[in-house]
Amino acid sequence: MRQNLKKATQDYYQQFELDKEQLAEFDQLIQSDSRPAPPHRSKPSWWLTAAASLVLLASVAFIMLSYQTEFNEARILAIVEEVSKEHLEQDPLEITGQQFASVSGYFDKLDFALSPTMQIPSSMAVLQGGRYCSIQSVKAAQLRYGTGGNAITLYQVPYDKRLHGAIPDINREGKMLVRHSRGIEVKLWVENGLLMTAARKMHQAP
Amino acid sequence: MLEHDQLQQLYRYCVSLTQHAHNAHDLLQTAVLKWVQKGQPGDAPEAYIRKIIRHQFIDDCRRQQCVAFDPIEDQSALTLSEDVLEKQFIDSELTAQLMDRLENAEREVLFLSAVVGMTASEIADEVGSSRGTVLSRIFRVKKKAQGIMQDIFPERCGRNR
Repeated sequence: MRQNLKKATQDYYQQFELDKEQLAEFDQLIQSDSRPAPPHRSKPSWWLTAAASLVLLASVAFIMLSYQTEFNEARILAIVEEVSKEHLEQDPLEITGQQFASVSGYFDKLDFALSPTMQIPSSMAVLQGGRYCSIQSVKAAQLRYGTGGNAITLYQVPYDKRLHGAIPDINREGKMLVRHSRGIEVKLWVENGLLMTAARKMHQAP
Repeated sequence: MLEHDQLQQLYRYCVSLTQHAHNAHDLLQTAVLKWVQKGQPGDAPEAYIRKIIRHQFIDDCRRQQCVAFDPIEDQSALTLSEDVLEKQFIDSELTAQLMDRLENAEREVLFLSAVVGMTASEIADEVGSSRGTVLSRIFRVKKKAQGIMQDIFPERCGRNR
């Protein structure tokens, strides 16, 4: 069908649309910075002052509750940005090997023990090695599975809800979070008390 | 606050720059995060966020050591009418091919003109170039569209003029 270039361009871009989940993520991100309107100044009156104080207290309580929820998304996005950038950099491994026991033994400077995860079975990708890294300024371990464009980078660090936000425990809740940044898919979950994040290149849509 | 249709429009702007759905989503996410961190300024948030997107795209290209927007000096299109996009025709199934052939700056100008509905002067203000440069880029878009039609339908192109 022949169209003028203006209409053809409009129709072309219509096919690109954020889906409902993506829109909801943006709504959460935007609402994480909502601020209440300042209290309305009126003529001094004891009952008005009391009412305003009660409303203010209720607002503060509500905002703190909302902020706690929205704080999560900002914390999670900060981790996603960090690990996706590290995944792209692919810094040299400090220890190579395909056996989890021998590779994890290298990390004696960590104050936690690495934990194998069922989320990356050997049928999916073979362990290549690891290196020290940090997640939100806390010393962590980076394990690399697979090679080239199919590489998966797994980060492990002790889970701290105040620092990392609310992230589901895979064993209790059976789910993980999935986010995207810089063309990298990042999965986040808690397993055996550790925050695990797995980064891999997103496969391009046909 | 940002409405969903504004987010969709901004997403499509990111697609016009990156030509990649996932990269566009990342670019938009980074830009909206920056806007939120600045306190959601701007009476016209869409235009404000477009500027953030543009700067972020330039930064990303610089990090990848590629050029975001190639400069041009050709001012020969100054007399070009602004409704040229409505007078140039293309088979709709060839639009994707045209987008692949356009440079980033040409795709951006095409998007801002055809989809956002900006005039050449408004586009020039937004992207920080002259109206002449904007018109030159629109002229190049038109020539490339003509080129594609000539490649595919050489026998038809005489009737396009």
